[in-house]
Amino acid sequence: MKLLMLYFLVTFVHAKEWARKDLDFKTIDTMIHFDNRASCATKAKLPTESVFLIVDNVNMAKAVYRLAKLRGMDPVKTTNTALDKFNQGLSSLVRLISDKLLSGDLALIDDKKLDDRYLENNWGKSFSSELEKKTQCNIVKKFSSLYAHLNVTKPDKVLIQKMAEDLSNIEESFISCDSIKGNHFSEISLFQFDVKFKQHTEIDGFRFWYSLKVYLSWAYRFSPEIQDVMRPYDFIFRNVDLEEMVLFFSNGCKSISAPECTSHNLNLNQLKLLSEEASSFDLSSYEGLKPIAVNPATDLTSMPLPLREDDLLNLGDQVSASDWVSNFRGNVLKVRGAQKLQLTKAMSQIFLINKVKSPDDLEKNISEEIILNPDGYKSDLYYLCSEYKVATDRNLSFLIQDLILLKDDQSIKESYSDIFDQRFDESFIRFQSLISKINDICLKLDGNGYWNNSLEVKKEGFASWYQQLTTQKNNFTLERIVSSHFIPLKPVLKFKSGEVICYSAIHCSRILLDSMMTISSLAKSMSTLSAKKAVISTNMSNPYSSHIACGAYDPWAKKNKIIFEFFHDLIQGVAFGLLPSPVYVSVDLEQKKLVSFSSLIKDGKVFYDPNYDPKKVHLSLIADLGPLAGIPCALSISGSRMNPLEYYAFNGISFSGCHNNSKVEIEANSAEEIRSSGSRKNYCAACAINLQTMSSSVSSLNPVLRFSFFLIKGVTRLFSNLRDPHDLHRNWSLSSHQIALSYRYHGEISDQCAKDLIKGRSCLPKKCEGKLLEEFTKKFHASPLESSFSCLTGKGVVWIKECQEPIYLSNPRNLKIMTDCHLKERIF
Amino acid sequence: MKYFFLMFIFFSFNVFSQTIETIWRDDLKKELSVSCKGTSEFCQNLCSSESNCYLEEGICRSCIGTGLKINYILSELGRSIHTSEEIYNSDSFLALLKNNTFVTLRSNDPYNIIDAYGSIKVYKKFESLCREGSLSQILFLKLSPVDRSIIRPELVYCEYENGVSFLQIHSSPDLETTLLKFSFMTPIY
Repeated sequence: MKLLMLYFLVTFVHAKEWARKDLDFKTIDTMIHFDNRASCATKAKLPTESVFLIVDNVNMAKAVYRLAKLRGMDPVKTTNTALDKFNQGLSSLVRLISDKLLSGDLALIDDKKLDDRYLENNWGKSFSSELEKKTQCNIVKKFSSLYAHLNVTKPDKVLIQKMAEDLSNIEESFISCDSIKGNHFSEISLFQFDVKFKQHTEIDGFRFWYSLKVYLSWAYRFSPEIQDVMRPYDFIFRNVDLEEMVLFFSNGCKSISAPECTSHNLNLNQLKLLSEEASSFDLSSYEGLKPIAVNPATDLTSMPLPLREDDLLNLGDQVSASDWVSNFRGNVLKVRGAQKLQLTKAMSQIFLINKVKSPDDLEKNISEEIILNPDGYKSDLYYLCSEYKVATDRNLSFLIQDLILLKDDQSIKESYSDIFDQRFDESFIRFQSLISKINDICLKLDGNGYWNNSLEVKKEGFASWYQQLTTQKNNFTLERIVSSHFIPLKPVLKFKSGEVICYSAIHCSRILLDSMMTISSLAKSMSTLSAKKAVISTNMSNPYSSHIACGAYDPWAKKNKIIFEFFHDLIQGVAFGLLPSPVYVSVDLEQKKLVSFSSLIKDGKVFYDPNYDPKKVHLSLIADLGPLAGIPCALSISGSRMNPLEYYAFNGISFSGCHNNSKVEIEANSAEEIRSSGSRKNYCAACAINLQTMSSSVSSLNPVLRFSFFLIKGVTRLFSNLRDPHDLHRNWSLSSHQIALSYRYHGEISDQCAKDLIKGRSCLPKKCEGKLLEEFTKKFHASPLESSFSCLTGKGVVWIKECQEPIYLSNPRNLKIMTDCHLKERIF
Repeated sequence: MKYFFLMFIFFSFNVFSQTIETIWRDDLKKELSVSCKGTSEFCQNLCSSESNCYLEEGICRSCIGTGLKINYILSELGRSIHTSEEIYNSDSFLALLKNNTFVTLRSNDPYNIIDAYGSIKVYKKFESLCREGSLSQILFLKLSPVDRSIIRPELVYCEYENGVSFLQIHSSPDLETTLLKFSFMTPIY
């Protein structure tokens, strides 16, 4: 042994001193994945291995503060201690559940088994004496460059240098959950959990995360483990509405839940909009609070695809992670609060009116009111008839379709029956009956010329949803008020305390419709409003998650088009080479295009079914008559306005005509402006005067050269297309460990070093040295100071901060270490 | 009316000769204590003791929060959620306590994080559930035996200077409608 050590020392006399040995080497072993648009979109279908957990501590802190006051304890001190306990307990519970699931100790669950007894039974069976710690937990402090993968497509030298610096001060970015004690949490916390799904195991990632969320909801309240960790605050903690306090979201492009084109999924993804800077966030123009909220799928057809650099999560706006979460929480709280108020008010009004007035009663009362005061109620009747007509006539608006979906919307039904102990679908059936009764009354009034006399109608008199639909108004007060134009002496319905619910049957009916419209609008964001048996999660880090879920973006389309075009060019080249006169057949592949969505209900969930314009192939034919007939004209016939002559590098004037049924359009354009207009015609014909005689020149060449010309053109087009930075799959993975090692060795990240790191190699001068030291520092807590290696022998020596003696390393394939020091192993 | 009122007091005090108190113990758990007086067999039936029973309250799922249900209950107390002169059935009360499917709420309870702590408004809401002059009020929420979520507000315990009462909670509001009677006239359409 000693002889071997001596051999090493003699061999490695010229040890290299590492440039940044002053830094603590506290790196983590993780891969940071960067993706462009196509790659990120494709990954949306894969389960993530890293998630963030936002915890809103405010409700819990409020309760503990009040309890401390009630019991005469120091409220501030008690609350701070409780905050630590709560965060410690919650994060350790997530880790425990995750480890149990990963080890197979706890059964994974599927959708239907949400019964508490089933969960309790499973939990009871999962008592493994030695559970391996497989889940990594960190508290995120700052969205430093180590989180650049959330809003950067491709890493460059500057970014990698920054990452290296941030890795040297890693505790500024995140700290381990084990150091929670005395951490003094504020109103919010942000955790990061990392797991590894081993390949070829039976763990389905999406099922794993789903199970984790369901078990967390149950175990937080009922598992014995949580009571031990959170004592003495466990009782009060377990009463907290956990589901409204926490939110999981995936860290990167991969997803926490399988992308589905459901209202639930799309809404949760829309939460990213709430990361906007609070000072510029306008509640009154927020889509989810408008009287008629747009279906979240609509954006997918109307908005352009974002880029990763667009930073939709606005991570760049906030200095620290807590600032970002605090800002996000503030916005979520504002929106949720306003939505809850609107929903409760709308549901209450339906409940109250239905309690005492049947549709028959309302119909009868409206008739009576018309007789009693035909002039007084005229304006109110006009509002009533207009609103019911627009809301329920399919020819006038889409609203009735959304309203009909409400009857079977599970989340609405649950919320309503939960609050009022009454079925929502019953109320809805009564409402449907009222619709036909009111429409009948209005039809009769129309027929009798009731509106012919003078009538006072103001835009503001209509319900807000009606104003939104018929005017350009975009900002609305959050409180929905349907006012009555005529105020009778005695209101038709009021509380015994005197508070008026509605003044007349007409007013009651308008309030009923308005309430249904409010619920219909809020139903589109119910998933963010109430969660019961499972903690909620979102894939909002991936800006294309909803696009992929609903088929609004095909990340393979560009690649398919390029392959198609290349083969087309090759075939064209062969045809051009063989035929005596140039005949050009242009085949243009137009991808299927998403145009709209149909909403439908399945198992109580609202689904959006995409409607496409199908994939189309446009054929064009050009016969260059020049060489044969001696005229400078190439004749083209195509199914679209796309001009195949562009392919000739044609630069002249063209005359073209298109025939569409009986309509003929003639257009003359300069060559630079020739572009496909997008409008589809049945036949188009063009005669191009070829001023540059390019086609004639080409056609006069011999067949081999003609073929070569088009082959070169095809290859040129292929390479030009392959440069697309966004829609062809590209991804880069950086090892945090390699970055830290390289930076510590050289003291900076050079251009070449950045290239090596992007290729997955640490940039130590000797390949074997890099590999050995990488393995060694991944396994042990070791901060290299000096090193010397020989790749011929595959051996080397390293001096580290943690040990006085040199450490001898050999065999890069299967690391062997010789040392007298006691080295501390890394857990993760 | 006066006669009826006296009858009501007499009736309620005789059916329930027990007093209720809730405390947050040193171990930060909530406890309900029931004291029985006179010949009442309530405590005997509840915990086999003649005079006092102590019940540790179980958890109330999502009570501390701003969820739709708890929000509605706390905001509608004294409005849509109210009491009448109807007394809560003694046997039902016994069953509620025995099954431990309840949670108690007072105006200054840590469970209520929606209203400002110690505000007069909250106190008034609770006070409005009892007859005038009540000294303290304890609202009992009925919980689901399966997952311990709130089912409904069930009863309120009111303590007065000279007695107590247990009143049934009504979750349907007291409404007043005006009837129109003009159907003898010919419709104009």
